[in-house]
Amino acid sequence: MTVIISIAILLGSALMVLAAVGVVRLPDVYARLQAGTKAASLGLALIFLGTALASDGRTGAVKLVLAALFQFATAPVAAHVIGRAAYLSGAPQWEGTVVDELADAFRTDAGRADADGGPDEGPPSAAGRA
Amino acid sequence: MDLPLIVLDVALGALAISFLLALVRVALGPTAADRAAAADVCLFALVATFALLAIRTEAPSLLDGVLVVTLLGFLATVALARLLYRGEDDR
Repeated sequence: MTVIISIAILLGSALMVLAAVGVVRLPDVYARLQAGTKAASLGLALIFLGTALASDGRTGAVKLVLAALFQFATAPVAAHVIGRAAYLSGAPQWEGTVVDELADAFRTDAGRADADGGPDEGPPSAAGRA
Repeated sequence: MDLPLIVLDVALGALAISFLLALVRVALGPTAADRAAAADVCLFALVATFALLAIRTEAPSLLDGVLVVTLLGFLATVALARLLYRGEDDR
C-alpha cells in the first residue's frame, strides 16, 4: 500500500514539473495550453489519488476523489475556453503550425469560395472579423 | 501512517519547482492567454501542495481547501477567458 501511494505521489509531482516545463518552453499559447492542461490534470489526479489512499479518515478520501473527478471534468473546458479566447483575440501562432481548422471554419462561414485556400492565413483579429 | 516522509518532501519540492516555473511564464508570457494558462498551472500546483500538506502535517481540514480551490479555480479561469475576449461569442 505504501509503495502504491509513494509511486502515485511521486509520479504525480513529476508530471506537474513536466507540465510547468512545457508551459515555459513550448513555442506558442496553444502548445502551452496542451502541456499545462493534460500533464497537470493527470499529475493532480495522481496526487489526489495518493493522498486519498494515505488519508486516515473516510471523509478526507471522499473529498479528494471528488476534487479529482471535478478536475477531470473541468480542466478540458477551461483550456478550451482559454484557447478560444486566445484565438479570437489574435494570439500569434508558432511558425511551424500546419493545420488551422478554425480559420477554415471562419472563412467558410464568412461565405468565401476559397475555403480550402491553404493554411497561410493567421488567426483573424477581433476587429477584422467584426 | 507509515508513509515515509521523504516521499512527501520530495513531492513538495517538485511542486514548488513547478509553481516557480509556471510563475516564470506568468511573468514572461507575451499574451494574456499565456498568463492565464500558466496561472492555471500555478493553481494546480498550489492545490496539490494543499493535499500533500494535509497528509504531511496531519491537518485534514486542509482538504476542504483543496475542494474549494478546485471549484473556484475553474470559475476564475472561465471568467479570465471571458475577460480576454468578450465579443460576439456565438460559436
